[in-house]
Amino acid sequence: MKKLFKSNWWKYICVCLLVYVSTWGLLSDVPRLPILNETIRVLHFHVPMWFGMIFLFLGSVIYSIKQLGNPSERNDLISCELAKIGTIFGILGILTGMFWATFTWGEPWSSDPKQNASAVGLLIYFAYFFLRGSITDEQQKARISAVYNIFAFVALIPLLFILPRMTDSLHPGNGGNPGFNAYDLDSSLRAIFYPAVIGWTLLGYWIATLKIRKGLIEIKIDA
Amino acid sequence: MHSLFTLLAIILQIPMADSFRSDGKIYVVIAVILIILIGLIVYLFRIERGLKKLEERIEEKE
Repeated sequence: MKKLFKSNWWKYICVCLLVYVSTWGLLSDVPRLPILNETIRVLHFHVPMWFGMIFLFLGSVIYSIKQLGNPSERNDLISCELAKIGTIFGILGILTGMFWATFTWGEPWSSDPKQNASAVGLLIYFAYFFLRGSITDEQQKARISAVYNIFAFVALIPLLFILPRMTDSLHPGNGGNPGFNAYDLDSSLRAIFYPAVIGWTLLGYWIATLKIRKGLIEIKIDA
Repeated sequence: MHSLFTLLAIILQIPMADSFRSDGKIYVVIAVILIILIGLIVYLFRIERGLKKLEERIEEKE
């Protein structure tokens, strides 16, 4: 994380990838699928929100574990800010998903297992911020929220990746629904989708580092 | 597998924005998205510059 603060090269990679995704993502050939039609391109914007969220929450958990081993204001700050931007990615993911679903599944909320599970996952993280807000003692806040954050991440993985696969889902790759990689996530989509995941995740980390640096300045001023 | 899908698409006549693309209007959409994206990124770099100045000022004080 310290290296991420000081270096800039990964930000330029992020910019290049996002420019590539928003131009070639609209220009490239895509599989002609019924119902989805051109909206298949939403894949490069909606799905990376979820991937980015997971990577940001993963970073957050790593700093929560560090916080338990070596309590410091810095570890707590990094963990909290990564969780915040991760939650924003999740909210954007759910909103874009609802908008996409309105035109493909016929309604914004079909109570699809993955929709419900991701909503529950986000609520778990909302509770994390309420928990932080309700404890006034700084050290206690850092310790309890670190423990809760680990629990939240461990709960999120089965919610998003295991439970929706046990039943039928409208989402591809779940239940009886063949995944994108079965035939429709062909190489032309993949060549944009993977860079999109990296680009959007880096953007999330970039914004997080700005907020963390602001927090570190505040800690120094208060000290 | 992809060619099979294209064949199926032709048979089923799945509508795509082909004429929109051949008109070249898609470039208008891309240009708008790029302006917004790059504008926001320039703003991020500017926020970062402000932070850097603050960090330097704090380091000087220490």
